[in-house]
Amino acid sequence: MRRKNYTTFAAIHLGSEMLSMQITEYHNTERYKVVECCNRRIRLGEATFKNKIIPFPLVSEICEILIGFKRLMKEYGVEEYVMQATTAVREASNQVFLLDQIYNKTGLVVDVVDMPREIYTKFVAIRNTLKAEKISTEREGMLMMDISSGGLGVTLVRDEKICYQGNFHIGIIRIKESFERNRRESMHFNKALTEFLSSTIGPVRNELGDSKVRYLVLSGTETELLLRMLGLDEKQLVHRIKAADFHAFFDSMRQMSLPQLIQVYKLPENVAELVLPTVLLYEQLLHLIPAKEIIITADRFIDGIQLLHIGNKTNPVMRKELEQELISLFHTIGARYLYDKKHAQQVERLSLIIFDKISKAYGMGEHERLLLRATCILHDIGKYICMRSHSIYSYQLIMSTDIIGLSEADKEIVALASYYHANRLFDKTNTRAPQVEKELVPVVAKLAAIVRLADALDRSYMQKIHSCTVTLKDNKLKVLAASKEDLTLEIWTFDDKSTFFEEVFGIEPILERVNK
Amino acid sequence: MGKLDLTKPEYFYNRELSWLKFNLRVLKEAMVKDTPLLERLKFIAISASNLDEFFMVRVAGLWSNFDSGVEKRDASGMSVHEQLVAISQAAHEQVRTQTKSLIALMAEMDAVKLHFRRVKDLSELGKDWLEEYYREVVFPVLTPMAVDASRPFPFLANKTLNLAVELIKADGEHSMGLIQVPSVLDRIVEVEPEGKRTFVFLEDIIASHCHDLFKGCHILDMVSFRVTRDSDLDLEEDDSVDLMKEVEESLRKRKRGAAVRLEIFKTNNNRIKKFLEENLDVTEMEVYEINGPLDPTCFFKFIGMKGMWPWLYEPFVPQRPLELPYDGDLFASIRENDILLHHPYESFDPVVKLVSDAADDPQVLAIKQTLYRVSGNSPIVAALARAAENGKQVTVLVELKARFDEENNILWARRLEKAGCHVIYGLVGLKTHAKIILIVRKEDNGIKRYLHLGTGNYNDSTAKLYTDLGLMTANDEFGSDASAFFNLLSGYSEPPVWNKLVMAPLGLREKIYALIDNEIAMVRAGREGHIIAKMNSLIDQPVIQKLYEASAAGVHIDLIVRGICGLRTGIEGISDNITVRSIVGRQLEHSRIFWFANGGEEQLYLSSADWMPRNLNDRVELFFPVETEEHIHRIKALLDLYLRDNVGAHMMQSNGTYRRVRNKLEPVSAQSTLYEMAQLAVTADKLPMEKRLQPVFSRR
Repeated sequence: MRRKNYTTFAAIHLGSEMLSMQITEYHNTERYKVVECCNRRIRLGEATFKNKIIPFPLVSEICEILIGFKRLMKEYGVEEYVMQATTAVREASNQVFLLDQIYNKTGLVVDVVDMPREIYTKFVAIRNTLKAEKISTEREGMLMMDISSGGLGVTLVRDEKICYQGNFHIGIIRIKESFERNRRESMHFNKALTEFLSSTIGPVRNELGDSKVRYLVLSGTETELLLRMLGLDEKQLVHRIKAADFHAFFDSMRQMSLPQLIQVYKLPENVAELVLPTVLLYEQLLHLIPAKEIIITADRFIDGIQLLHIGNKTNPVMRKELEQELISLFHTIGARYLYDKKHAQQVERLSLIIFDKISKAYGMGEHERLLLRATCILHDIGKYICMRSHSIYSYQLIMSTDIIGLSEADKEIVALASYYHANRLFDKTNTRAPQVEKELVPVVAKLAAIVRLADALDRSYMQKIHSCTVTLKDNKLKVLAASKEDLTLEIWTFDDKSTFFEEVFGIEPILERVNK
Repeated sequence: MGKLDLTKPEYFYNRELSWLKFNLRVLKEAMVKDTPLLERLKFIAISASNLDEFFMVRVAGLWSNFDSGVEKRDASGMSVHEQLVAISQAAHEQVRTQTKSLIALMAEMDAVKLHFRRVKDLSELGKDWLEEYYREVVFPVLTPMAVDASRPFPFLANKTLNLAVELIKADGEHSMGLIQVPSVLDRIVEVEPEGKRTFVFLEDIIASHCHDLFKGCHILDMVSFRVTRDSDLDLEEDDSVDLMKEVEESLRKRKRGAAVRLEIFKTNNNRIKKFLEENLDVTEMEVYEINGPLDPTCFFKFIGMKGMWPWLYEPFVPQRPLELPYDGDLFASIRENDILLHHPYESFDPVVKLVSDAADDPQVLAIKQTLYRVSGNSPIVAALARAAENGKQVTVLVELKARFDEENNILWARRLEKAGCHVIYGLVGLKTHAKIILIVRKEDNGIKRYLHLGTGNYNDSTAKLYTDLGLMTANDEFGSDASAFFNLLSGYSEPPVWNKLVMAPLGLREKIYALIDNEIAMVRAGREGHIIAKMNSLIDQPVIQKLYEASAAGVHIDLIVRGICGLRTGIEGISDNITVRSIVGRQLEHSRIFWFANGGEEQLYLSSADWMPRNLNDRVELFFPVETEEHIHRIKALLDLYLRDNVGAHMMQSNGTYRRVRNKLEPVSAQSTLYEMAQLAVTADKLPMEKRLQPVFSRR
């Protein structure tokens, strides 16, 4: 028998409306085959968005279905799996009990992803599809709108860079659940809903500035419904529709009542109820961002789980590209707070030279490298608020910004490292210092120590050092900085800041200027 | 053109009366002189057995509806009571034909020295032998039951044969007694010392010897009779279940087990008749007086007795399938080409082998199968259990409601469970009638799925008698549909967007409409519209209306419907483009085939479903396309053969009767032709040289 050259992987998504599993055999991101796809409807969102509690019968139902999924996983000889839960579970106050029951009854470990990661996961899938369709963002911008049952993610991409990213707590089921039935049936509902949506997503327009958008990419659970109503093939991966056609479609159906919708589009009542909020939301979006063409993709969250998993395992090029896009997002955030781009880049460059020398010995890998880069780019953004104690504001700004691609925990590390690049760790006299949880101390300290050193090397903010090599010998880290200019300020600062580095790594940093 | 009203009662036939006509066609096979004598006798037994079930289920169901006051009329406009009256009339007529045929056949048997005799007409030697037979064998199992004030009328089991006895006591008082003819003994007894083959009926032996059974009484008269009851079986053949729901629970309990038919040997003794009628609570129209042997189902066993072969068909041997010329790796064969099997002409063995091979194949990960009716000692069930024991994931969807012997079903279902199979005992609201096997195999290039889809049950016994088609394929689109199908039935997933399969009750009806509408559109576009559909029963009113619509539009429709057909042919402007024929013969026609001309790009489908409301609304059924050109041609040729049949085919006439097709053409029997063709296919010159070189050690 020939050597088996593929891996069988199951992606499971516990969403707000659907419990899904997709089993794939993959060689790499180009060669893979979906062999099984299950979607079982569950009414999780309706229950949780209102009462924040997942009722017990629903917990049992979920476990029953998952036991079936486990059986299917065996039937296909699944070797790897990732199970993620999104909005409804994230927001349930009894989340822990649900996860515990799932684990005890099925052995499955559930990763509850936060909103930015959820959006990012889908972003990755859609990005991949659009690339395959050769839809380019080189010149004209593409605004991606992902509407899930619980949230709306807005991402602007131009020239392979993420130029804007914002997420809103507004989704179809959530809208439906936010208004009681009698309100939904009111004559004024249409207008009230329009205003509600407009006020919630209006600020996006300001954020986008003068950005022109050619494509509006729609994705999410309700797009399927939209396709069906437009009479398009649900199985096709990508649909491109002219904006004018889209408006005409909306005009044709806006005035329809619920019974008319059910009759004309042959929808079940519970689905028809979602039509109005969906249509109004899309309409508001189009009103805010007049795009020329609308693209609807069939990508789902579960496709993103799958792609990220396979990509991480097999495709370093894709990893790099994704990382590059994330870095572009960090810069977008930096720019929003008027950061000193040249300084940030210099610190990033120098930090990476040091990092690459010592990372292996200190248990740091690709992921820490990315967090380091984020810290370097964002460490000074607090200066936007106040020049004096900028580091605390850097911390706060980072913590309160959605950064897709980074989990809440990742974001906290970046924020803490940014704060501690300028402050002493364990300083009892500093009552404003943010607490670092015990398990985060090593990574935060290591990143902060590196950034602190690199920051010292550009103390003048003049990027005097044009190149730099680092050697490590006998616990001494020798930094050979090539510069034609005087480095006195940098050398003094470096001396002051090197103590922390030595404490953390047990290595003494020494700076030498090379006149080149 | 104004819209046609296609709902008029005169456009439809009543389901029950149509069924009785079908049974009459079966019965009339007994009079076909070309058929071997005892095969003809077998047709009488089959029609009698069919009629038993008809009374137990259909007639009982109607009585139950009548008692609970259901007032719904059927498509042909008949009320429940009108149906019962009409059934009684037709059934009486049929029973008379049956008895006449039976007596005629017994005369023919006499001519070939198979003699049925009364005990009193035997030789002394024979009488002595019977005397001993009675004492040794019969007497010990007889239970005489007197019926009087202190001993009420006993419960006589369904379908048992009994003797009613009129007695006179020593004190001159008249009374009645009953003797059950023991069902553990052979009904027909050969009297060995007679010299020539002579047979007597068991009830005659008892009647001739029982004068001392009732102590202190003198026997005045004796009459044999048989009772048929509303059976407590499932209502499998019944789509009046919906109506049943309206019936009060208490009423149902009371009526269950009630007698629905009394068959009684023709007698002038009105006292016995009245005694039975009153005690069994039957009305006059439920009484069938028969001037001949009761219960001809006993001839099933008779024709199996030793030495009967000269008057029977040569044994029917299912042949090696045309598309599987030799043993070997079945999976490899399926991977290479889809395989079409036509049972019983071609053996069912490959289907058993598929499951069995899968059970032992280390690369197989999972087997999933639906089971509706299986044979008593099913090799498929055994293979499934073995597969589970071998660590495969086995999912079996068992339909418990499908069988008469539910207990037996539960037994083997438990066995499967014990072996580690995941057994699903049907769905809450639907019966699973689809026939599908899915095998998931892990191969070098990834998961590969193998499927068997069929028109008949996974029953290796009936597969020797029923004509059915089965398709084995490794087509990915079929495979992923099959997975989705099982995921849906297992509750793991919502219905998907299907690639190839069509499923009832989710979409099959609409698909049928769409296919018929397509033919209508073809005609309107000036092209030919033609449908050939073969099934067991056609009674779904909306589908029939759709066919009328098509006929009216000019679509030519040839229907091959073995049994019940509610559609009327020859209505001017409504159904004059429709022909209906029924094929009856040695094999039971069971395959469901649907062919559509589609303007020259023909489409062909196979299905587990008939066009009946229960199949389209209340059952899980599958309907699937046949896609390879050779297979389409092969099956289309099969349909054409059926349409040419002038031996076993009966055409529906515009007055609703069926007339055997007789024409001046060369006689064509589809069933015999198919058997000959299957035999021909395996003759030596069709085999590859390596096979022809193999020595033969034993005959098959």
